[in-house]
Amino acid sequence: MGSSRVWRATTLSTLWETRRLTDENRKVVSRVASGEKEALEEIYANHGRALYGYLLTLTPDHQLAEEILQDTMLAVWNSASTYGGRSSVRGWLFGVARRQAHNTLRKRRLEPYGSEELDSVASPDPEPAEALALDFDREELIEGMQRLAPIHREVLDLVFFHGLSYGETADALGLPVGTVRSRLSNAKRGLRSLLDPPEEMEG
Amino acid sequence: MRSMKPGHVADLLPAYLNGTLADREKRWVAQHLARCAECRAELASWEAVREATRETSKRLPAPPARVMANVWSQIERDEEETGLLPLGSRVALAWQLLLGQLPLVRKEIWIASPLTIAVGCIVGMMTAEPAASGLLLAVLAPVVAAVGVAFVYGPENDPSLEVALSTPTPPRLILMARLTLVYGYDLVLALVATGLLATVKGGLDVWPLISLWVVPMLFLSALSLLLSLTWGTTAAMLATIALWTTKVVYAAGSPETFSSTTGGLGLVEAFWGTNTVLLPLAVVLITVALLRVPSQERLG
Repeated sequence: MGSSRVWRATTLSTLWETRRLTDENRKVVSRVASGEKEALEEIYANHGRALYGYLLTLTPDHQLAEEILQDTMLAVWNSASTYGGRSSVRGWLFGVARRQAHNTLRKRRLEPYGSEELDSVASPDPEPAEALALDFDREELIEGMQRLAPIHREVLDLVFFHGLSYGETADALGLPVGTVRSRLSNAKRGLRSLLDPPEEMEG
Repeated sequence: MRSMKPGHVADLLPAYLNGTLADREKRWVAQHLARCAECRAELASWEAVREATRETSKRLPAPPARVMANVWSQIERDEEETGLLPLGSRVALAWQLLLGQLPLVRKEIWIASPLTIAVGCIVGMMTAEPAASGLLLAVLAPVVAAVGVAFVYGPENDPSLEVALSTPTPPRLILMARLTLVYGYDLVLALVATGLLATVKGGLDVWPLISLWVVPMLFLSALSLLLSLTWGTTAAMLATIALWTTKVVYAAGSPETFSSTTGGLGLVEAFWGTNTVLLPLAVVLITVALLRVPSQERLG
């Protein structure tokens, strides 16, 4: 009972927050929609680096990430009028970038994720009893992070580096908020298993 | 006290850490953490993940400086090909253009116009003489539209005009889109008001009422558009209001305006007995106004 109330409250709060961010940023997108070049430059100045970093979590190829970034800005220019203001501008931008990345990678037969089933591995409501004691040092963690599956790296990047809320992350990834939650804990678990393979089980 | 299974805050911890929880959930999680060692351990592991994520993402390079230059040259190449679009896409583009211009039109127009029209409508409803009930509406509607149109374009109304002129959307298209929005809005308002008036007054025909204002509205708006492009919004507003006032005062001064027994059509004659001249004149004015604005993008 208590938990469902909290879940609902969280959904409301992310809705509220999305509304607030949207009001601040909607104008710049509608300026792009009306063909204002400076508005696109503004979006790039504010989000270009973040989008590039995000794309690099999807492909290690810098050249390719740059191409996808260009495609993303082009898509923003061409489809700004389709931005309905439902999601925050950031969520929308990451969503555009993600779609561009998928299209490009699929065209080149490079699978960005390859493992959508990673989502279904863990239970949606993990108990802290199986809390991952990540007692590894910083460099070990960073090294593990670089090997992490893009689908996991992506969600961690959006939430912890770009500071997106669950709602915005859901918008960006085109997922329900609940899946964002479970994907986050799957990502942590994925990181742990990369660093600490369950040898005993196999031995 | 509701039972709080530890598992229920675990999902909120990443949002708790990045500060995107609402105050209420933040408090709830904090309270829970104070009591639950398991969740504190979980939080610690999330903190480690957060630091590793940030550090990894921070180490990613910035995009090369050439990105936007490439984007602009690609956009220019694309623009050159859009001339060959099929009709369906053109309609869709026109619709997008209208929607895109919507937020850039002065917001006062959306409020001031209906208020003014409403005054004309209400006064008309309270006028006892049926033939005279449409008068104020007929006087106000053209002015409302003309004033609105005066604000459609021009540096004082559009802080981003300089930039807009250097965009791939041709200025002429922008002008047409905004004109359509503002004039269309005022036209619909006046039509609705006239319909209301005719309904309330019962015995009135709608068409004579509409014909009281419809052509003067178009003419005055066209004039206002051209004047605002030439001398600016204020000049256009003052000139059209002055012209219209003169005309109204002159019409009011002639006795047949109020003694008219032929109803609305007689009033049209009294107001501006030259609809056949006004209509083509309005078309000419609009054409000249559109020709004054460059049809192609002005780069740089």
